[in-house]
Amino acid sequence: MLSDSRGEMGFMEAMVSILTVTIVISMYLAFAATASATAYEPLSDFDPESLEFEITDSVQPILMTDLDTYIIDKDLRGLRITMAIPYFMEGTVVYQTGDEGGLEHQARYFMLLSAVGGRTLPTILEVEAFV
Amino acid sequence: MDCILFLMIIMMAISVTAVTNLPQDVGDDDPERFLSLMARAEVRLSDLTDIEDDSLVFMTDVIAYSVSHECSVNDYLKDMLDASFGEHRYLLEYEYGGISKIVGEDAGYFRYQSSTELPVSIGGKLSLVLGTI
Repeated sequence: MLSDSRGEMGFMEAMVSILTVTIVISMYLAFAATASATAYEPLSDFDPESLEFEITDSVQPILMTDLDTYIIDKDLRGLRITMAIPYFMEGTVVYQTGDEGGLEHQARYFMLLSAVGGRTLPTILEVEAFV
Repeated sequence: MDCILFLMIIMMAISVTAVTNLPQDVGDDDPERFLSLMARAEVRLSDLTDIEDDSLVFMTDVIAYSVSHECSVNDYLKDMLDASFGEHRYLLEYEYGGISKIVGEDAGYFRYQSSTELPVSIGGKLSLVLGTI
């Protein structure tokens, strides 16, 4: 800071100092807000083993768990689960509730799925949560 | 001097905020989890072999069978690993009775690696080593 011989700043220097402090603090607050928004992880306590499926005559299972409860609990916009049982099932099955859009969080899980004929098959779940 | 002090405090605050808000690892798609699922998976014998027998068997049993017989186990493992870790991003080595096989490609470097030894119903142990990039 520039001061005169009595140690006092002029008006312009004082204004520049205040502006600098205000800008830097604003940038810090914006950074902190962004950091806390991106750090929120809605899938941190998602448990794929808690999902219940109905076994059908084909390998493709029917999801019986109500996903709406989860999105209400976590205050989500929507939730999409993409299931793959490689080799035993062609392509993937998608279960979705709510809307897409907004900030997207993804996680991938391996689980065992009880399937037709008593089989227990390794299954891949891609879970996307829309905040 | 005041300005430098102020900026230093703000920089320290930004560093602390960044460190305390690091994204968490969610999901459980690591090689160790993959191998643990393989150990508990059960299929019909006829699903992956040419044997016309619908008995339920552990996946480890058919993997052990595949080291000395031509069957679809290798195709199954490749499909499963491709979908799990991506093509060309893994190497699975399995060995039973002194014979070993591999699925995938050796990238020379693996970010994660896991190994296990699993009992086979007809005796002996199946050893599996899975590395992923």
